[in-house]
Amino acid sequence: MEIGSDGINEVALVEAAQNGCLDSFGALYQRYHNPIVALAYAQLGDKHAAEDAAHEAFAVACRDFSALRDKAKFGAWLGGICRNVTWQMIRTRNRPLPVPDQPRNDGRPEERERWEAVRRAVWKLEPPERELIVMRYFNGFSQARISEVLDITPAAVNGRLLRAKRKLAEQLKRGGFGS
Amino acid sequence: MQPVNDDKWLDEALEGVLHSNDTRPDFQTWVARHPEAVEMLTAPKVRGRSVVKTIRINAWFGKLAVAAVIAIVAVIGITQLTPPDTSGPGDVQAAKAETLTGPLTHTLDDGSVVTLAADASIRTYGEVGKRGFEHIMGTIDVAVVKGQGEFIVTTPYGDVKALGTKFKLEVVDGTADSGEKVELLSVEVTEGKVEVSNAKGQQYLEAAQDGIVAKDAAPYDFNQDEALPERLKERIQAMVDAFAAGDAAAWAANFNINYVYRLVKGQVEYDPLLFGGSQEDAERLGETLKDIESSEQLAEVFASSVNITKPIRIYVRSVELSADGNHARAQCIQRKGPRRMTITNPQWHHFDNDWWQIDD
Repeated sequence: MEIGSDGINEVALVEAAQNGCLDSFGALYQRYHNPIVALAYAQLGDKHAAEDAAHEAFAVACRDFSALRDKAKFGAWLGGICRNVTWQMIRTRNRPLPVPDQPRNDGRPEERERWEAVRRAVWKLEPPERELIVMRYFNGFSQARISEVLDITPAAVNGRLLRAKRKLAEQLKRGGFGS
Repeated sequence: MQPVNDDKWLDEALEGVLHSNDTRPDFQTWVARHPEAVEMLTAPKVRGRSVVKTIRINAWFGKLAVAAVIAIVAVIGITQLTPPDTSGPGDVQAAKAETLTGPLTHTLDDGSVVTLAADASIRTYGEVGKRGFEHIMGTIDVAVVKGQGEFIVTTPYGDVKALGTKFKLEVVDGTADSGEKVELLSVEVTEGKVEVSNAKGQQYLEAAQDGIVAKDAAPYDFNQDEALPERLKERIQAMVDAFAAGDAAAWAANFNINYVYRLVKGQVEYDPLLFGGSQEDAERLGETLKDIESSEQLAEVFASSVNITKPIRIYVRSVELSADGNHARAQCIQRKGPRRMTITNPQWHHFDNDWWQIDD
């Protein structure tokens, strides 16, 4: 039995959903909605567009559930659909690559300046690193949940996150935010 | 200002920039907005892969119908039969289109097999009797079953009509170092023949040939470009092959090392048509390599200096030949990663009785 990091038997949910159980699909939706929005946000840089992309990804998953071969990899499969949906959105809207939302504007001026520098540095990262950073900080997802969607081991999530943060720190130092 | 090597500071800043409190899953709203998807999920399933079964049953009925038509036509004595158009509206029935994402190998209803790499996705047509599919992105290999009529793969940049064949398609959608978007389709034929076409033109590719369809441009295969001398095509192909093999020595062999040696030694004048860099580059090279004692030694140094340490895919988007026919300049895409590219403009010149690459 495949028990997920949160104790849910995800394979059973996937099997039930593939057999037409809407409640099971709903449970998968609750489980993966936010990580998929975060993944889309890492590509699109726009929260509203990211939510649209996530909704479309779930709709595609519904239509194409029979294409999912490995039921234990629902998250990774959905993540792949999400990437395709976001790339289609970027292509069809002919929009430039990530145009991130402005950071929250409720801090002190110097704090806003730092956040702006951090925001620029995040969007300069390579897409795989950006996905990791955004997923980690968007909603505080666990390494296990991130690993399910990105289809890498939790240990790899940890290692790559550290490297991405190191890269961010170096970029920020170069931009005058270092010691 | 706090230093960025304070991990807590960076964590807080990332939280501030990226954290979202207002994203909440609302399944009921999603259900209300996606009735079609919900209906497809909850519709009664035929055991096994319902889509394939539906298509096969429909195809079987289609054949029966065709047989009946032929029998009636024979009875009333019409001697000239038009072969039934299996893609016509009478035979096209609703079936489920599906999006497939790699990595996987998928057998289409006609028995043709498409293998999707991890970055790839396709969408089936969902029309019984219509062979082919829509190639959305990534790299796929296709093995088409012969003798069953037209098989068409549509892509964002052009259509590929298979004429009984095995071929590889790659939808390249990335950004070059310069920021320019790179959007093209690469077609490599392993067996048989394909017709590649879009609004700008068409091209036939046979086994061992490959071509490029850039967005909003006619399909292009430099090997079929009649304006280019055969020896130049060999040189361009040698460059592409050297990159594909990650073979720096093979790449360096396309340059006229004897000429470069004479240039380094000051035995010939700098000529921008024969040396890809500026005069200052040539002088700097002469200074750096002043201790080189032979063209063979220079060839080794030259090959070791180039950054070809692993196979690199090169797409030749276009080749322009000068009016006098002695100089050529290509526009190439070097693929560094799934969506990372570099645009290069290698040049060749005809001198010392051969075509030589003069710039990378």
